[in-house]
Amino acid sequence: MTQQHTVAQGETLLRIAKQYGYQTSKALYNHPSNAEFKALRPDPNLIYPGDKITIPPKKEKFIPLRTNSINSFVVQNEKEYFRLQVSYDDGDDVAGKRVVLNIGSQTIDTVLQSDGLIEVELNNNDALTGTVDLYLNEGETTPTKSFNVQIGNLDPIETLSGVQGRCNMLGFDCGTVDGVMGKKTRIGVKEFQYEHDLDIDGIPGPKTKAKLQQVFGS
Amino acid sequence: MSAPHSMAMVVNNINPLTLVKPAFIFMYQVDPNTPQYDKEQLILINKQHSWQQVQSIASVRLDSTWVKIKFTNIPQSGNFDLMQDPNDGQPAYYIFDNVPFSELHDQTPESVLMAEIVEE
Repeated sequence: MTQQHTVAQGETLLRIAKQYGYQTSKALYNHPSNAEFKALRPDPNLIYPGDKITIPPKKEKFIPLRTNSINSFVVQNEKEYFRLQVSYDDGDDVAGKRVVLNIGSQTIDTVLQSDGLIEVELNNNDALTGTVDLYLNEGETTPTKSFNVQIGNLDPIETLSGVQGRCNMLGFDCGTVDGVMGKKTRIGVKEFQYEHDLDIDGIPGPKTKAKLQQVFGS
Repeated sequence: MSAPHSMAMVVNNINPLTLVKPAFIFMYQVDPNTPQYDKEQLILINKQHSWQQVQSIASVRLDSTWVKIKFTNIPQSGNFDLMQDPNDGQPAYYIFDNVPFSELHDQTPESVLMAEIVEE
């Protein structure tokens, strides 16, 4: 029987798929019954609370097997990753800076390379929340900066909360990601607009959103 | 150590995290029709740390009257004064004074110069 799933904050498409017995997010995303959803969310990693996803019924497959020989099956097992790229606003090299990630049940204590990129394979059953501790000065025993991370919570660029989330990550402080156009958000947006030669009005219109999406990368 | 922020992030895609070094950015509107407007200076002062930094209004965008003044490597405690010096023999005046570090970033939109674009 076909079901419908309403996306909640923090859910990912793969986790929704697994909840209904599918092994990959593509099984849902590319299904014809989700064509409208796919058109609305062109990036499957950026879904939004309230989005409706059709869960098609699973079909039995009949595969002819040969006797007296090995029949091989490949089970697709899609993984989820957390990718973080750290940089300084003034372009200083981040190489050698220590980073400690606590994501779900995993702790990763590492040192950044010049590209500032960290990649972590997420455990299927782990919570998608954690902390990032950055030790930016040599010999420090307490982190210079700490962040709580909520993976899967970044909203699409069309939403104000999506604008706030991206601005905060890029160093243009919009305060709490709450989808409310307050004073802090306006200042953060203005600073972003100034930095990127846009009209400075503090309003995240189409040009500002397009630039923000381009700079952020998604 | 700064207070922990909660960051909304995306799964699988790269999350670019930009670390901003301690700085105070002041968005400042100038009147290019005023004679010698570009000689103005802004001075950020922290008496507790015997620290001050002078930034001149040098980079006015041609298509805008907004100038972004950035004070870098600022002390992370104590109180701050911001003064505008016309640099033309007239006395300097305070834009704000005795503002704690924790409230520094609230100053730009509160200033008289920005009042016309603060809508809250």
